[in-house]
Amino acid sequence: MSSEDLQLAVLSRAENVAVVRHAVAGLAEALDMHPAGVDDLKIIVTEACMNVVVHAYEDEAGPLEVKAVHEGDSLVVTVADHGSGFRPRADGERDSLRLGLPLIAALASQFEISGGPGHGTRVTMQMGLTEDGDAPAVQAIPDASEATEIKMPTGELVAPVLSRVISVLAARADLPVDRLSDAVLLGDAVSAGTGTGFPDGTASVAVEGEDGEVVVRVGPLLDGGAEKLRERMQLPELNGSIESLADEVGVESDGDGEHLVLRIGRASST
Amino acid sequence: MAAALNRIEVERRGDVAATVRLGGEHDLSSADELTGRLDELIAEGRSVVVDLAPTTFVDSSILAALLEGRKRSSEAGVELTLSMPPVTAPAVRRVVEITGLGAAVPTREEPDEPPAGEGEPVR
Repeated sequence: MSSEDLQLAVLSRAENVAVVRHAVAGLAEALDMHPAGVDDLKIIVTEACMNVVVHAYEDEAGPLEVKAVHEGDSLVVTVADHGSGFRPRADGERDSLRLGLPLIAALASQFEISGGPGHGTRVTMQMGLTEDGDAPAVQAIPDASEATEIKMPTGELVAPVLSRVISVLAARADLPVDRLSDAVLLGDAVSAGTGTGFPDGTASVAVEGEDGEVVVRVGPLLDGGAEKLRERMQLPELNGSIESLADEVGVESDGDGEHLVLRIGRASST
Repeated sequence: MAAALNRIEVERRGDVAATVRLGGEHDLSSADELTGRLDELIAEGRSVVVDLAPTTFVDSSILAALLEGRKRSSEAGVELTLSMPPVTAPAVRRVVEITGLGAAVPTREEPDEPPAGEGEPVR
């Protein structure tokens, strides 16, 4: 234990939460944490301790253990108990827990909950000492597509997943029952054909269903992979090919590679 | 120690209004007392302004008590509003804003002003 670390053990009583809050804030101020960081630290420590007070022990107070460790540019605070672990409760739950964990998530640079029944609960939270360091500055949100994107290792588990996804999206797109069945058959054909052709052995399929149409986009595939996949996707049970089910079958290329794109709409293509 | 850390002051105004001032730091240890005070005033048929200016810290149990108070006041047909003038501690303002409490409970700049977004003064 370094001279800049702190360990506290108190009984899990509401009045002790302020004691912990001020002890940890005192250490943070001594380490020159910026004032707004100290404010946030007091909140997250309080919320973690309150969870212990309210939820850890059934009828009487138990140990509430707090450790604050100076690590680089951060203070890492761990709040632990020896109680029954987090348990969802349908009734009688105050709004405080519903607000408390999101508050920790919003204010801590990082946080983690671990433990389980019989092991107690441990909440570990990190707060930067400098204003720039703590900052969950606004994180860039990656572009998101309307499509449901599935990535999983190629193999027999692709089919059951893809067929369920296509069923749901076809129903959402309001396809009639016969076309919904066609869409699922198409999904099975896609699954059967996805054994090879993906750059890293991971099948990648995006499915979108809306406005009376389901679009299945397979890829990115290796060069020439889309055409090979199309050839492999025979439908022996229908004595036909995917063209007998899909309204449109095409190959598209972008910076990521080739994609085989299949569209199936309300009206039968045959 | 608790008495020094936090206090809850109630000022009844006439027959139908009251101001509750939170001073010091408030957390789970004072949440039940706050709930009790709010319930008492609502039961008296008073609209309540909770003045957050004097407090330096509130946690989610206090926010929950305020939300519950707001719910019960609506059921009773009276108002519950928050007062957060510019001097309100940044830590308090931050928690209220992050949790969206300010959107769930009408908020005013001063205890005697109408809440933001509501033209009617507290009766």
